[in-house]
Amino acid sequence: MADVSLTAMTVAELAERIKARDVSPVDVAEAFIERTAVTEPKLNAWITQLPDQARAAAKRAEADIAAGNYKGPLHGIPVGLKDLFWTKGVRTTSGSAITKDFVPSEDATVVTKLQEAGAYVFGKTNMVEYAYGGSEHNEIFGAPKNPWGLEHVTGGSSSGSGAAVAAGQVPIALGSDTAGSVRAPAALCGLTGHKPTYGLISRTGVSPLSWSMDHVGPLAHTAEDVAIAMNAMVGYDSKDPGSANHAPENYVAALRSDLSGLRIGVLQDDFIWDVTVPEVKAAFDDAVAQISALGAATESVSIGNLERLAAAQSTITTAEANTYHHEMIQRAPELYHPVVRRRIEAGFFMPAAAYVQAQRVRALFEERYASLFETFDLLIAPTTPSPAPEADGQSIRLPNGEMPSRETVRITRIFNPNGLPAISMPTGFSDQGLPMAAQLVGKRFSDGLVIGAAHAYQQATDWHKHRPSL
Amino acid sequence: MLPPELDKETFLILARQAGFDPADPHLDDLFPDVQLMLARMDMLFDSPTDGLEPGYRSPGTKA
Repeated sequence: MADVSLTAMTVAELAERIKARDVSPVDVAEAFIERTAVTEPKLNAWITQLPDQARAAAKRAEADIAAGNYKGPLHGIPVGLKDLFWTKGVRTTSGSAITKDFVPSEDATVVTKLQEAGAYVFGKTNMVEYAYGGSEHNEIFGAPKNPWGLEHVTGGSSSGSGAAVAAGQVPIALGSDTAGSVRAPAALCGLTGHKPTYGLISRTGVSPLSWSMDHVGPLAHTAEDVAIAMNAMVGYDSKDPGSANHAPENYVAALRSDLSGLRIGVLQDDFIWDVTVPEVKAAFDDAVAQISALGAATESVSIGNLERLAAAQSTITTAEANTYHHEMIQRAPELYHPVVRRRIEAGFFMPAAAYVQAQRVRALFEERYASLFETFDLLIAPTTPSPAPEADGQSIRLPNGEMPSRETVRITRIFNPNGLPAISMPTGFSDQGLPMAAQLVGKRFSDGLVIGAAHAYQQATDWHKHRPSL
Repeated sequence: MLPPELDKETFLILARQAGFDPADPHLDDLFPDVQLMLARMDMLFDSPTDGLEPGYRSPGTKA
């Protein structure tokens, strides 16, 4: 009988026990395998489970550690991978009927880096088809359910990664974030999710949605776990044209216990608050008060004209996604989810000038963000405008009406075009018991500060310690 | 300069040029999505971008 209590632990807690040899990586693997067997029928978080591979990898880790070759805090830790990360010999479907049988001949660079740090692949998590949306899951694989409320969405597109970590099926998972696809499921599933600075983590072997907008990032219980994963994953990759040749940083060393000396801009844009429900705002206000109590100087500020930046993000993604899918969608359009199909096909009607103009708007906001970060170290905003919407609905119900479910990424997408690091952290629970969250955002390559500030907040709060009952 | 509105007739002409069958009922579903996309573009062209070049910055550039 496995010790399933291990599945409620963070990566850091598991690592401490593995390092001290209080538990073996094999014990850890068996606990997560058993937890997954019990909860997966309710959740549908995985497209491909790999229990035999996990057991074998855990045994190798156990032997390595026994031989004195402990590699660090990821050694013997199982990791879930959104099913667009290439895994050698293991199918990588991108959540699509079209690529349901694609078996890569090599691992994604980031997967290799995690394995070099001692982690192993536990399985491939469910996802929105081709990562293009918040809830558009292919019929073949179905939609994951939110462990905090089975009738509610997980958020997407890294939906299975959110559900799996929240349910304790795996302590950490990877996602990709083009408009908020790491941060939104993290927020709606009560997790900590980080979109790193563009280019910090290699995209080699990660099936693309939008080349200039895609970011690889982790979903975990805590900012500390995010930092541990970042230490293993960050690094220049000459095979990735978007890779940043940036001096590595120790993200664990950047964790901090207070926020003294920091200037944090609290975003006030109508674009954000016109759609945000009152209980998310109340939790956000409490979080800002806590951040002030931790020593930060907070001040209200607006970015301005955010609807234009959101339009640029959407336009660029449509054009780049259409280019990537150009041949495939003409060959087999009926195999796409109808909503994803229409989003991609709309790109056939986009004038070239619109794509270029969207890039000019991107430049406009480059200047605006640079100006803001002369005054502020960090910005803070809610992650999603509401807790998780109900799964059967196409809309988020708001006091002043409804909005499409894709608007779960409304507040996250404004930080993608300029490649800014942004971390989502839990800030409370709604009346229905659903998680709510805020995101801290910094200038490019300030990931250590962003993650460290979230850690400080989590030292003073316990929202990240809650676990759903399943 | 983009057309202020895309009517159905023009849409079907463009659809044919893009390789769609104009008689395909799927185009009835696609048309509103294309209209929405074009409406977002209007916002882009209303932005004060005089003097700005497209902003695809090289990785590694500090903000």
